This record gives sequence, structure tokens and C-alpha cells, in this order.
Amino acid sequence: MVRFEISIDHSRCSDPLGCGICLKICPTAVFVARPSQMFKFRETPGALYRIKPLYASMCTGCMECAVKCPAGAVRVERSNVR
Amino acid sequence: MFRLRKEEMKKEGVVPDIQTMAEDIIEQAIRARDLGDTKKYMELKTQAEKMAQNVHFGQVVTLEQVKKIMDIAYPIARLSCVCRRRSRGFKDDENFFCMGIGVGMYKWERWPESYRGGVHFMTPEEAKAWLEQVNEAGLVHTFWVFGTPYIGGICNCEYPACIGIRNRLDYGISMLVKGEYVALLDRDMCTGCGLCVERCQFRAINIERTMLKAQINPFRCFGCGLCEKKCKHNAIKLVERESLAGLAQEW
Ligand code: SF4
Ligand code: SF4
Ligand code: SF4
Ligand code: SF4
Ligand code: SF4
Repeated sequence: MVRFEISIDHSRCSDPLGCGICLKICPTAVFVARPSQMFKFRETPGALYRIKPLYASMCTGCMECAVKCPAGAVRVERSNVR
Repeated sequence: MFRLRKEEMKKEGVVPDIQTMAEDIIEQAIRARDLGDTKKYMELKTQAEKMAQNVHFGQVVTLEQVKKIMDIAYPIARLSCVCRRRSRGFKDDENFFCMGIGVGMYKWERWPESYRGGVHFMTPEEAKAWLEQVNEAGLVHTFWVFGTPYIGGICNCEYPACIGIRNRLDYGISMLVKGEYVALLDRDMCTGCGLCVERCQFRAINIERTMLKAQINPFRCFGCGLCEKKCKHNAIKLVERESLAGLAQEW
């Protein structure tokens, strides 16, 4: 069920692996960081990871992530989708 | 479908990678499920599981099994854990929960930029001692194949940081299959002390308060053996899954 639409402003979240606060604090671990690009023979740099609310269906709307994100990059809104 | 996705990725100028494709399909499956589109969810889930079987899947193993692997694998190295990095933001230097085995480790040693955090080689004895510590700490051992049937990774996992456990328990997608064993309770021996409960990463155990006995749900049990290790009263034993007709097909 989609209770909340969670969006990340990637232009504000410039170093997801360096920060990772939303990943650590979400009580239901809604977020994952995934590489936005893959390269041959070398790892994707941290700055090219993107935070995704992959497990958004487990969001309770507690707002911890939106409040604690130092860049103000996370928005959690009630969803119209049922 | 895979070819389409490959073309798409070429256009985006990135390296097509089968692992990434499987992750994309899982992501779409989760979204379809969230939106209540059961048909699409089932299609995508089946597709992702098929890909996993052919390329990259994991299975739960006991401490004894994983120690046996240490005796036959060479070389053995500790590695940073991909799941914890991605799901809980662990930094590489605090994230050495994974093990890699096989000659691929030399490649990562030679070119550390090709694996985050690099590799730390271990002797089989060091590896076994470390696995015992990890087991004591309550992490579930799993092995993962990279290009079936080659075992490339030995993982030490927990919910929800392990994406394999997460996708299976919360979203019904099986990249991680259950182990060869299942835990059975000897009710006469069990005192209801509850030490086993917090050991289970799969929510398979609770205490029936009025009877003061543990209750193990054999359909939830993945056979990791963590509960058995903590029971002081020898009330839990692992039996082969296939020895029980009702569980033999439950992987
Ligand atoms: S609102 Fe709370 S539950 Fe939802 S994603 Fe943010 S931290 Fe997690
Ligand atoms: S807390 Fe904000 S800045 Fe930090 S990783 Fe999450 S979205 Fe990015
Ligand atoms: S399977 Fe386990 S150890 Fe391996 S990367 Fe995932 S959580 Fe880490
Ligand atoms: S640890 Fe052993 S004795 Fe204690 S509740 Fe669990 S099974 Fe029973
Ligand atoms: S019941 Fe015991 S053996 Fe089964 S998954 Fe839980 S901890 Fe592991």
C-alpha cells in the first residue's frame, strides 16, 4: 500500500554514502542507496549513489528523515494513490 | 526484456550489468505490489527469482557448514558488506561483515578501486575463529553464488540490513533460500527461558506465556541454527528439512 510519497531532492543530497543519516535513522529502513551508474573495473564513487525510498510501503510517517536530513532533501507527503 | 533493458542502458552510457538488472526488476516488483497490481508483481517476482537462480542467489547455512567451506575454499578474504552500505549507510572501514572466496580476491587486492574497502586476507583458522564470533553476535551465515554454481561470497546477515532477508520477509521475493535444516523443539527440555527468541532474525520463535514453552514456526524457520547455539537446556535440535514431508518443498 502506498500511504506516503517520499521524494529525495538529489541536487541537495550530494554525498549519500558520506552522510547516510536517513539510511541509519529510519525505524523501518525505508531507504536504500543505489549506484546511479556502474563502471567497468572500478567502483561507483559515493557521490554517484542515489537515495531511494525503496521500501516506502513500510513508512509510518514519523518524519524523522525529513527533520534530520541536514540538507533538507527529503520530503514525505500523504499519498493520493490507494 | 533483458535485451531491451541492455539497449536502454547502453543509451544511458552505463555498463549493463546483470546484477543491476535484477535489482531494477525487484524494484519494479515492489512498486507493483505497493500499488496492488498483483499480476504484475507476480510476473516480475518470478522473473527476478529466475534470474537469481541462474546467476546470483543465496542460501542460509549453519556455523558448522560455513566452517567446512573455510576448509576447502582458497583464498579467503574479509570484504565490506554491500547490503549494509546500501541499506544502513555503513562506511567501508566499519563494514567488514562479508567474506569473499576464490581467485577473484587477488584481482580486488591488485586493484583496490574495483572493490570498496579492498580485501583483508585470512587463514582458514582465522576465518573460522571470526565466524564463531560473528555467530555469537547473532548474525546469520549465508553463502551466495556468483554465476551459479560458483560460491563467491560468505555473508553474515541480519534483518533489515540484509537486502536478501528484507526482500524475502517483507516482499516475498526469494533471492535467499532457506537452509538444509529446520529447528525443532523438545518441549520436555524447554524451560521457556526465552534466550532463543532474540537470536532469530526470521521471527520464527515466540514464547507461549501460559505454557512457558518456546514455539518455533517451522514454516518461518530458515534453519540458521542461531537459536540452538544459545539454548542452555538442549531443547532445540536441527533436523534435515527433507526429513519432514511437510517441509521438504519449503525452500
Ligand atoms: S517518515 Fe519515518 S518511517 Fe517514513 S521514511 Fe521517514 S523516517 Fe522512515
Ligand atoms: S539524510 Fe539527506 S543528505 Fe543525508 S543521505 Fe539522506 S537524503 Fe542525503
Ligand atoms: S548478504 Fe549479508 S553480508 Fe552479504 S552483502 Fe548482504 S547483508 Fe551483507
Ligand atoms: S532457549 Fe531453550 S529452553 Fe530457553 S526458551 Fe528457548 S528453547 Fe526453551
Ligand atoms: S528458529 Fe532458530 S534455526 Fe530457525 S531461523 Fe530462527 S534462529 Fe534460525
